[in-house]
Parts: sequence; structure tokens; C-alpha cells
Amino acid sequence: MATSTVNLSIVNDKVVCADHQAEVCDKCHQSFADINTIARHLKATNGQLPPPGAVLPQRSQQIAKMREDGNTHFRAQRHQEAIASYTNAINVAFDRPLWEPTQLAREELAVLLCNRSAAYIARKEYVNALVDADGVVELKRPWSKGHFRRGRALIGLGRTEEGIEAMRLGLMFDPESAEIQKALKEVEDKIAAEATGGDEDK
Amino acid sequence: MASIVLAIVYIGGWILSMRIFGYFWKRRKLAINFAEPWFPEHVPRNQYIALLQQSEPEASEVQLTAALLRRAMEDVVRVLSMREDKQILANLVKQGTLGEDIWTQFTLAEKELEAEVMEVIAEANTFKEGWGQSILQTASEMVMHEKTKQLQKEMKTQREDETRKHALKEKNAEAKKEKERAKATEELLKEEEKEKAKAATSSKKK
Repeated sequence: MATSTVNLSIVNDKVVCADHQAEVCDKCHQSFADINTIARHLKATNGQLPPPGAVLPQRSQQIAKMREDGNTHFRAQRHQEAIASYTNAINVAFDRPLWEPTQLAREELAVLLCNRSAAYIARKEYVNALVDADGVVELKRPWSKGHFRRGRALIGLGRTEEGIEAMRLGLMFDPESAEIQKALKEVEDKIAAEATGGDEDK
Repeated sequence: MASIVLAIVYIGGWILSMRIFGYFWKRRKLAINFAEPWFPEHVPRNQYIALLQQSEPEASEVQLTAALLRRAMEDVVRVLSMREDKQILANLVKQGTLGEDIWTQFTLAEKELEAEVMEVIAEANTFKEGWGQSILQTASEMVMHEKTKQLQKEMKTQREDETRKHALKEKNAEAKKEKERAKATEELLKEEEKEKAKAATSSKKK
């Protein structure tokens, strides 16, 4: 197998390409960003790679604290602040070291994105809410809450049919969910009212 | 005399045809050797080796560990992809849909990968005795985790797309409303004109 040599150098404790001093170099078709990220995470553990499945508790605590802050703001109707807290927590959660368990990261992110989606819905920022809810569904499909938020966001965007579909899908995963049943009924009643209202006009 | 000529022509013909066959056979063999490798270049491995040879300043142990983990991750991806392909490929070769040479290529790549994995394990043990036993498990977790991280990028592009789509929709709705409004005013004007015309004719009649 042909092996092409890689020209690299180390600048400021970072691996970069030798010719352009770039971490990600289009000209050399090389990227050292992945190595540098893992090296950064390894420094936090003093270069000791934890055994498979081990998690440093600090990050989880930090994320949990930010989530709690967000929840407090959300309950007090300070939605903008809640979104800021959740966003910080999400960024920290996405920056988890790669060797930590994926399942943990997915659970954590699903909850955070779901909460942020709710805050966005409260602020009527439906596009952002939809993107977050999509993320929740991607991370944790069997969780009815993600579908519920997705449905709310779609209805908010005026894509009522898609929204109803999303909520029905959520009901399949959790037929008992009271909030979905309620929301679905509301939307269907509204449509029915509009339909009869339209008829009366004619 | 004639029989000797005939014999020479006969033998000469045989030799010629064998030569021609040999020529094509050789070319075919060469073609197999020059065939594309099963996997593209192993970039993380090359990066790791380059980092090992780096001097002034030397790579730190943390950086080498990171590069080795990346290399192990690529190996895990390759092992999984080969495992997935193997059964399908074996069936296709058995049916005759695919040539034997592909199978040869595949087994060669498999052996090469095996050697590569052993090398990574040996390298890992030079960092810390016993790490070789768990490096692949760690690497496969990392491969899965990386897929989750891609969601962040996906969400970013999706957010841009949806925002654009929504803005366009709003704009269209606005334009539609504007049009309707223009139409309504036009109709109103026409109506007015008609009224005026009517009034004019009726006043004339008077």
C-alpha cells in the first residue's frame, strides 16, 4: 500500500501541518483537529486514559447544574435566560470526551434539547424549536416527548398536518401520554371549527 | 520434404498461439496487482507515524496517545465494514456474479488489516502495559460517540435551512397578501368608476 508522508509540526502545543501551520489544511488535505481535541481532553485526565465506560463526574455535575438553572428560569417564565442556560449545557455536553459512553451523552443531550425546544416554543421561535425537537427524536426516538415538541413546533409554523402526524407518531410510542392527547384534541377541534366556520360563510 | 515443412508450421503455430496466450495472461495478472486497494489510504496511521518521528519539539505523550486512538478508531471502522461485506461478497463469488480476483483482493486486505490491528495493540502496550487489551474497545465506543457528535453539525445546517425556508414562506405569504390588497383596491376603483358613470348617465337623462 502506498504511504504518503505527512508533514507536520507542533506549534503552541498543537499539531499543525508543516507548510501552512494550519490545524485543518485544505492544501495538504490533512486535518489534525481530531487529534488535538482528544489531546485536549486527555490533558484534563493528566494523560491517563480512563478504562472503558468510566466517566469523569465533574462534567456531568456541571451539565446537571446548568440544566437546573435553566429549569428554574423556565418555571419563572424567564425563557430567554432558560434558553441561554440550556445552550451552555448543550455545548458542554457535545464536548464530552469521545471515549465516554455514547449512551450517556445521548440521554443527556436529548433531555437538554427537549427542554430548550420547550423554551423556544414558549417564545414562539418555532424554527429553533423544530430543529431541537428533531434532534431529540434523532437521539431518542422512542421518547414521546420529542414527538410532542416536534408537533407543537410544526403547528406553530403553520405546518398543521405534519404536526398532527408527528403527535400521532408520538402516541404510538406512548399511547397514555396525556399532553399529546390534549394537544391533538385541541388542534383537531380547531380544524373542525374552522371547517364548519368556512361552511357557514358559504 | 513437404511433411517437414508442415511439421515446422504446425509446431511454429502452437508456439505462437501459446506466446499470445501467455502475453494476455501476464497482462491480466498485472492488472489484478495494480487493482485499487480495498480501502483508501490509512491517513490516521500516517499521521501517527509522522508524529512519532517528529523532533524539535517532540510530540508530547498526550498527543501521541490521541493520534494512536484515532488510528485505532479507523481500524475499528474498517474491521466493521469488512465484517459486513464478507458474507455478501462470499455469496456473490460463489454464484459467479463477481470474479475470483475480487475475493483474492478481499482476503489480502483482511490480512493486511489484521496485521495493522496487531500493530496498534503492540503500540498501545508500549504506552502502558495492558492498554492493548482495551484500546479497541475504547476506540469502538469512540466511533459510536463520534456519530452522536455529528448531530451538532447536522442541527446547525438544518437550522440554517429551516430559517431560510421559513423566511421564504413568510415572504411569499406577504407578497400574496400584497397582491390581494392591490386587487381589492383596483376592484374598488372600478366599482367607483361605474357608479360615477351611472350617476353621470342618470343625470344626463334628467
